Amino acid sequence: MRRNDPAIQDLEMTMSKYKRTVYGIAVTQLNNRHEADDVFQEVFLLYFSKRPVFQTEEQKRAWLIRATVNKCRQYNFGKWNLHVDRTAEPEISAEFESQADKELYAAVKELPPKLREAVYLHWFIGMNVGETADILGVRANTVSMRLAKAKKLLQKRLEEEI
Amino acid sequence: MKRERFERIERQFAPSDELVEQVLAKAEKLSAGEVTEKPMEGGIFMKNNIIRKSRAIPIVTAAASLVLVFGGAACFGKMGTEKPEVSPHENASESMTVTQKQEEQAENKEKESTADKSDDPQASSAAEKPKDESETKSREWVFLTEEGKDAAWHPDAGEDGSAEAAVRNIDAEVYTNFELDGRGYHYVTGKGENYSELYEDYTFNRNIPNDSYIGEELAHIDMVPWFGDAELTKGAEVYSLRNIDSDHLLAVKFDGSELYYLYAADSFAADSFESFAEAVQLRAVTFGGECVNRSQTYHASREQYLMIDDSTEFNELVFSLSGELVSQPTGEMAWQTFLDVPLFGGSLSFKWYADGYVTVNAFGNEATYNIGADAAGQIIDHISANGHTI
Repeated sequence: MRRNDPAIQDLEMTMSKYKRTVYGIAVTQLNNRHEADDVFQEVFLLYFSKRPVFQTEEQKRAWLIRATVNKCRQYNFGKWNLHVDRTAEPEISAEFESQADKELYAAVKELPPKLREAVYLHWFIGMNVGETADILGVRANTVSMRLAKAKKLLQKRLEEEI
Repeated sequence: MKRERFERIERQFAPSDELVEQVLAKAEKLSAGEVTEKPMEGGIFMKNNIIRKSRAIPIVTAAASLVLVFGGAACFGKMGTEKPEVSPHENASESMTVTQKQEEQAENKEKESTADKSDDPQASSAAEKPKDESETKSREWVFLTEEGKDAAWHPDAGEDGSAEAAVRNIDAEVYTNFELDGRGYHYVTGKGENYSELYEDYTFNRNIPNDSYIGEELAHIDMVPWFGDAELTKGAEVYSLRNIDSDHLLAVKFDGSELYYLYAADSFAADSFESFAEAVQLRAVTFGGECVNRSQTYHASREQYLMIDDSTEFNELVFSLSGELVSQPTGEMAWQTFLDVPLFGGSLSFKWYADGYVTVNAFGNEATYNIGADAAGQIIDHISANGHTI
């Protein structure tokens, strides 16, 4: 059945291509694995139910990233999560190649949410400042400012040049 | 640091195969029409300011009813129409605090001992008369004064389950100021309680609603009451707030209490709007959904309130502003925006000037930033285009 339905086939193909991008944003922006899993599901089911049409593959990628960022914001700044202690939830764990990578990721997770968004899109995913600004709905100089602040905070935390 | 390092970390994040299968399975069900519900869309937007207006009415009505009931009872009591088995003393005690009761009991004991010593029936009678007056005063204080009307009271606060109206002593209103590392701080609270559904659950004591805001402990200090009585010094723990600049905002927990109160620096002005937004974590501390814009006119009768239903775009405009600190704005103020902040049950105010300025009033500190005529114009236009009268 799955192979016969073109929409499901498209979803499967899209997921195989962008699952790491979407999940990476969710994992970095959110505080626990349950939320990251939920956002992952919501984003792709939104894509499946809306079935947006894109001219280019870049547009599709941007749509998925924007949807993921927005979903994460809903989780982080929604009324429910502002008033709920989520420290008891299982934390996200990943196997890093080195202790330095682990420390860097921990330092990124400590950044304020809006700096973290810019950092992930620009440094981790490799979007340029203009693309990052478009995704976040802010101006390019705002993104530059956030990146500069993030860099400063990371350097202070890690005591090394970034 | 090289970008490869970030990309190497990024490669570590991949969803489990089970999760991917779950999504596909749900998509199949959606496709087959087995699941009718759609995934969550949109933000969490709350028309708290509309609720605030409508909710004020029943609260005021309830307060008025209490005044009528208890005030009326007091009048009838004085006129001698109350039930004979209930003495004015017992009736009045229902509206007194536990502390007041204890004080009164101590006072009564003292008076009784005085009466016993004098052994004079007239002296005993004279001792009762001022007691009745003090009872009436205490009742008025609870229900009729501004403080009493605004204060939190509990109909069933008595330990024995009896109905008792108790005015809570809020430490932060007594210990309003302190100094830490040479910087002065003052207690800040909003007017959220009794006005909004969003606040009613947790601003009863005008404290910070959720412990998740609290950061690390910075110091333990002795706080002095605002009236300067050193004998009434109280110990308190001072905490930072998560991700919020402690030069601007701090939380205080008094000894023997589990509640945190918000204190703001007496003087704080960030050198730019973005630094201010960063210092207070503007996006995180607001509800992120709703705001009200109020036009500024010189005639109160012409004052106009506007509501923007979906303020996502407006918030993004605000959160992306940048501009240097200036001494004062020029030109005429076009709109004033209020962003609700559950952290202290109040709002932050933004006054927009078409000349390119915004004056921010946050936690008792006011500062003006030059955001540029384009950005200011964009915001003003957005308010005018999307706001509707409420």
